[in-house]
Amino acid sequence: MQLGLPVAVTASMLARRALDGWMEEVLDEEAAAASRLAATELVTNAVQHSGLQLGDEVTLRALAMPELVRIEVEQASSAAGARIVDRDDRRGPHGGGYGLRIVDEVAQRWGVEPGPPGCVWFEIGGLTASGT
Amino acid sequence: MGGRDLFDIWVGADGVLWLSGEFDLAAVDTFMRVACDSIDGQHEVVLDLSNVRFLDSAGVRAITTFSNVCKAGLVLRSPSNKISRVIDLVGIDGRNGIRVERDAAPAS
Repeated sequence: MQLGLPVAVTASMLARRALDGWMEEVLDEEAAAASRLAATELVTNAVQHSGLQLGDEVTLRALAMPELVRIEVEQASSAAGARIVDRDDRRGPHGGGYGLRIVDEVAQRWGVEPGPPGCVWFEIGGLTASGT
Repeated sequence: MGGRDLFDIWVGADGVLWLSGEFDLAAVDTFMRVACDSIDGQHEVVLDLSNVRFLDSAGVRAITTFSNVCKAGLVLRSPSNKISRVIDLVGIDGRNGIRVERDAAPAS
């Protein structure tokens, strides 16, 4: 599954709607809930911190692999700045730092391909019988 | 998109702020406008989360920003199991005047 998402505050909602249909056949309920949360965080990070402008797009990809799913969010700019912020160091200009911490907690693995184009991805298990 | 997924916020007669739907980046401006307009700065503020179906870090960040103006404290009431998990992951319970009140047997 691949989908272009507008750089807008509604992007993560569009990502969830697309994933909900796709994941229904692939992931069990717990894994699907974790995936929609982690995917939301990656899309929101790209919208807020990629340096892209309104009218640009980021790309959401979801791949069913032998024992897990991999979800990627690609942006035309570099993703080198994607990192977890320490709990006591969240008073930066955006007051953030929660997003990738959530991804780190709910995904089995995640990573950054700096690019450009940059890509942040995660992998998660919990495939249903039809997803294997 | 189902109507129950759309974010909404309203002020109850008792001053409780009732939230529903998906609390993500798209909901932040509405939340901040309504929530900040509703408080008097003198009393503890209660956000009822029982009808919030989704919460992400953007929503959490809005809650923590709002907590800065809740001088008498901010209660997050009745989050579901899914919402509780996000709150626990980011560790905001007990920080910045925020207190989480969970139901004895929260709904999933």
